Amino acid sequence: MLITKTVQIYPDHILENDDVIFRAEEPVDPNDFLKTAFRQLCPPYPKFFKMDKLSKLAFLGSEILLRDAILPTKYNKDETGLVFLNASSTIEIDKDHQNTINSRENYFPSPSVFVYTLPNIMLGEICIKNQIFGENAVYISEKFDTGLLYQQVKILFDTCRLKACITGWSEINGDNYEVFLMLVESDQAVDNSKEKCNFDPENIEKLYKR
Amino acid sequence: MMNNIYSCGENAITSLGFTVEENTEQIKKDITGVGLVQDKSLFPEDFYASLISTQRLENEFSALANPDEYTRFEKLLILSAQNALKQNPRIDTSSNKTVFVISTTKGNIDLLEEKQKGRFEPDRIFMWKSAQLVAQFFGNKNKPVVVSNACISGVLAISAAREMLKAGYYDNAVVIGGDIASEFVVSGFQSFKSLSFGPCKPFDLNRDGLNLGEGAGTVILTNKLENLNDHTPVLVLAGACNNDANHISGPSRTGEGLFLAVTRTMKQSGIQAHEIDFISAHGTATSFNDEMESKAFSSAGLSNVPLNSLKGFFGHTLGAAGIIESAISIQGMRQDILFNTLGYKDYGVPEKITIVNKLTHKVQKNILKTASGFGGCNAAIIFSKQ
Amino acid sequence: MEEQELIEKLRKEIIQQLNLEDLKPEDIDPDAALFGEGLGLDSIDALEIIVLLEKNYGIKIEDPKEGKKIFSSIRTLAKYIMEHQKAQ
Repeated sequence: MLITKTVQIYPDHILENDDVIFRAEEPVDPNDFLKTAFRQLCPPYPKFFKMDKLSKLAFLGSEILLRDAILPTKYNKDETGLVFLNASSTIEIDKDHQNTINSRENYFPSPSVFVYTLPNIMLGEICIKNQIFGENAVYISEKFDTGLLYQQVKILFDTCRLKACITGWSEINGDNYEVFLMLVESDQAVDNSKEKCNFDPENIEKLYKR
Repeated sequence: MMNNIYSCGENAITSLGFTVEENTEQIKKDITGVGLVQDKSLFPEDFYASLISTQRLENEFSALANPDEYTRFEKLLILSAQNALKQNPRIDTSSNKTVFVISTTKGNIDLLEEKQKGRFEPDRIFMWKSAQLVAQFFGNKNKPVVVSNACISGVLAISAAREMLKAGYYDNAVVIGGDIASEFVVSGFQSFKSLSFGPCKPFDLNRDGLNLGEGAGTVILTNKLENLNDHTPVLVLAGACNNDANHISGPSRTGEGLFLAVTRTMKQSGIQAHEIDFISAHGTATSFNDEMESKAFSSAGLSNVPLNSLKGFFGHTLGAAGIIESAISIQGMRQDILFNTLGYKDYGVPEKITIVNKLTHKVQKNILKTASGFGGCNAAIIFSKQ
Repeated sequence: MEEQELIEKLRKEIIQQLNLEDLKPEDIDPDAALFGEGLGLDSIDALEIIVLLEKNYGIKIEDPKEGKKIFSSIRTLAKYIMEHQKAQ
């Protein structure tokens, strides 16, 4: 198994492998940061603007991760999956939903807010855009857990349920947010010219801390 | 690599009872725990749901620990696991070869309410925190694995636990699922207009939506023969999870994701369609879900396999559903019975499936459990009697 | 309120309620289909319009299937609001 690409999103910059591809000039609101980055880096996709911040983060990360990958031609649609770790679930949009029901006088729960109050929706959005039908899972962990991620992804490859996996960490809590995504592929499918390293806990840690 | 993975202890806590036996006793008599709820703190208007007796929960939990120190959600998880572990004292929860796997959609979400402010520390809103407390309660020092994947969480949790044991990372897994009824969730489903105006009617022509239910369930897995208890051993075969890649709240109109999950589960398990004796379906009684399931099951060659939905008995228990319904279906397999699909009367789905509409005697060797959820996710798993 | 005035108001409200970020009110043709071809709204959007009707106009729609018929375009939506607000 090989890590063939990584993407990292921080409150002030975005990395594609080793390269900084976007930087915020000064501290910005997470929503503004994500929308500006998306408009600059990705092809138009109106649904992006309906997503909550967690899904925007994950989606933006995946768009950059997959933009030169040729997953559809390499793998069957059910051979690519997603395994994400997250700490705060959907706390940001949860608070928004709670606000719509706090007052009986102004009681208007909104389906487009409520639907995002599940952490796996970010996976659903990525699947829809990329027509990915494979294994999906979200694990909740206080911090990014290399061991857990490695274990769960390895199991899916070892049991022949996946040949490619978008995996990593997507998390937002207030103004703190972070995305670390890896594209992991089975050895046979990757050609020699691509930038890659072994998918193992040591390499995952090294890349995460970059 | 370990060979067989067994379920060696199960529990279900719903409005019908606090053990699998209590639940099945009521189910056999067609008694439902779904009723009219007139509680303005849950929703401004009356609605139908399945709620657990707070008095009983507090009483039973008091025998284990101080009920003021744990949230409703945590109490349900702990009580459920405790009840399952009582059936199997061979399981050492303090061993580092035992892992806790928790399945939930919203955990302690009621802590966001104004009236709950300050009752617990801020971190308590996070599922990892509740999971830690539950594992600690049982003296377990491993980091619990927390699965939060909409309504398929329960099935996914059993499947993930099974794989961890098969790969030899652990010998035992205590898989606990739970979700509470909260204003947060009731109002959300109401905004989707997906709540039924009465007790739900899975697969019925006149179905009009789901009932929410609160509940907890536990399935204890082991890869050690010596950890089996006196109940008939039930094997946990492979599971699979697939996405519809269609819509974040509506299921695929073709049922493709569920079809893939079911066929891949059968393939991985080495079980063919004609060898499946029973399907415990998701059957939420919404128009689209039940329709989609009929398409997926018939496409997978399962049209003639008896199928039920238990949601008429205790509602849709979200993160607990996959585990509660597996626990009850495993019991049904042990007793050679198929439980009724309460609420179903007239056939109302486009493709052919065979709905169990009364308590039926049937010897089962392999049963399929499925679940589907928001985000386009679908999961399936097979249990097998030796 | 006149129909045209209501149409102007609705265009702004729909853009805001449905997060149609890159659209301006002028971009929405009052007679274009809201669902299917035209604006391409989906089932969640239909439910959101139901919320909008209740929140901004006090009109309650219980059955979402009924909703889809009413909101075939901004103009039919405006007409529906004018009828039901008169009745109140």
